[in-house]
Amino acid sequence: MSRADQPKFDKLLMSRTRLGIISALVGGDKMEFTYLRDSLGLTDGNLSVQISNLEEAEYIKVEKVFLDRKPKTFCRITNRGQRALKHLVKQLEGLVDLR
Amino acid sequence: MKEEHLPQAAGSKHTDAEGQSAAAENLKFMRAVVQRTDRQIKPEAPVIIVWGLICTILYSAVHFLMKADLQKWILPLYLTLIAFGLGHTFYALRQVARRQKSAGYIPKVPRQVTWIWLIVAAHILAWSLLGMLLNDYSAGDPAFLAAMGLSIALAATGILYSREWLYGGAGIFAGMFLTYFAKDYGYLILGLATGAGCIVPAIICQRNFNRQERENE
Repeated sequence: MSRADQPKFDKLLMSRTRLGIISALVGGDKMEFTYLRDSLGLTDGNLSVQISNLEEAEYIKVEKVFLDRKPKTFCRITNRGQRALKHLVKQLEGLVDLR
Repeated sequence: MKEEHLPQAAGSKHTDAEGQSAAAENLKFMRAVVQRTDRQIKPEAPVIIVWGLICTILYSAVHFLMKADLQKWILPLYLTLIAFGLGHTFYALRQVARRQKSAGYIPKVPRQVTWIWLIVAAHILAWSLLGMLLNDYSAGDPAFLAAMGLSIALAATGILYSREWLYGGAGIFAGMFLTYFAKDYGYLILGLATGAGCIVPAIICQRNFNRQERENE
């Protein structure tokens, strides 16, 4: 397969960090910033930037809630994010299986 | 949306095998993330146990009150027990929401299950109260309606969460069927069936959850 024949991948999801975030959220669960940070082993700054990128692309939705007067940032996947990840998984599976 | 080809190792000549291995690695990574971030969902058994007890007490009491010709006590008893059950449920749900928020993980399944239970409870309450207050039971016997609602809600919980609840729903269904053959003991049978249908799966699920938690440690 030449490079031109290769499927075009969604650039946003081809970063390990962003792929990790969206994979964690794919089940529809809401996850808090620190929970995601600890689960994925990321730094605050990196996670914050990647969340903003995904939110800008409307792949995830960010909700801020207060618990004991402390703000908490929860993320959840959107339908668009679900579709993008499903499409990527299909492309990757095609690449693995059909050669 | 910008798109790109599968990332290649810097300077390496692109080959099918490299692309295949990168794709497989990405799929493996996604699976690993899902496994790492996934948490066991607590069954919140006490809420269902309380409703099982309420049903058992209420239906058994209705059976004996009817036998003793004391029907006027049924509505006050019903309202008292239902108010207690609703109060306990809303308090417990508040605590659950708080606990989930502080843990930073709000799973989807309990949210779906809660909505199903709220919708079913609204139906049970509306038709039972209307029947008792207007003395018009065209919607059906409140005890039978409640048992049917519980059976449906438990079955839905079983489909979405854990199959033990499905068996509880099936048990209540069987109990409802049995009332046709033992009309004199209908309320007593419904009480025992709904009680067991709620309490037994709740205990099993809680025990399974606790065992899994211990194993995870």
